[in-house]
Amino acid sequence: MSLNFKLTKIVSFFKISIHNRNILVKYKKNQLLVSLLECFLREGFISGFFEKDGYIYIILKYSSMGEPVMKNFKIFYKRPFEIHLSCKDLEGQKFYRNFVVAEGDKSAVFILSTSKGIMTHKDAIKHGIGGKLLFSVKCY
Amino acid sequence: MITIEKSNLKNKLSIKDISKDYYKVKISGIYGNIKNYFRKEVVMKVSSNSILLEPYTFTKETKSLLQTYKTKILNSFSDVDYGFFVILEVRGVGTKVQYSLGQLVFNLGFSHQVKYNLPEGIIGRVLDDKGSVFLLFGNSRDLVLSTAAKVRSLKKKDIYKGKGIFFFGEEITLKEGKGKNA
Repeated sequence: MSLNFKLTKIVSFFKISIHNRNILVKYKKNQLLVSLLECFLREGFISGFFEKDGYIYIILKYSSMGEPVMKNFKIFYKRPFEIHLSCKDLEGQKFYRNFVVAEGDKSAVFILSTSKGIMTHKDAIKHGIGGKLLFSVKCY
Repeated sequence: MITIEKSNLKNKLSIKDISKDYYKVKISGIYGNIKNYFRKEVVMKVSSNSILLEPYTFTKETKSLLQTYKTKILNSFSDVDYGFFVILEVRGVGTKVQYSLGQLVFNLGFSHQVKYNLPEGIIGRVLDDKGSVFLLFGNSRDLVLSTAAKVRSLKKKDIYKGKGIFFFGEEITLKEGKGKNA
């Protein structure tokens, strides 16, 4: 399976299970999913995850009012049109002007595939590297 | 004297406020509120950015109290943001768990079913189709671990056949019974 197909499957799985307000969900084990979940756990988007019998169980997070923490998934990676960004691009104002429209959207987290694995754009600036833009999430 | 700074904590995202009256500290976040009660020997000063712990007199007892209160506060910070969960497992032939409307129903080999009402703020889910593995989830680790201990005490552990309620992945050594010819 290509990265394009895997990524859209995982993102749509998150979209549906958040819309149904499920607390505990499971998905077949996958190296891409594990590295994405480690990213989410560091940011505080999910409560936790564990592995059992070849499946990965994920505990999703909602506020006390019932609002989901993760919102507005948007996929940028589409096969013929890849976007590569350097570390300078991520720091600059031009990056926010191109991908972030309203001022309240600065809470968005961008997820990149770099030479040191999958990470958020905040971590990529710390390491001083760039990468391929996959998708973006907004937090509550 | 110990200071806990808010900027060093993992979860700056969801913590809204910390409040204190006399010897009670309330921490609130995305999963609701947690109250911590402390003894009068330790003075606490709460500001918007940090918490300061200080004893009245320096003795051996108050020195150790400071460290326990520090870990208790740090644990409740992570519980408010991430929650806490425990996975349990029912072993043995003919044993089963079901979840319905806030209560767990066990088949444990007695002549009747055992029903256990979960306390408020705790979520239970059964993970597999056989009904052997289940999960408890809540916003405070004291409540989750105490209910896990109460659930485990519903059935006494059997050392000869390995029946009972265990933590997931827990192992015990079985005893050998009497032989046929002996």
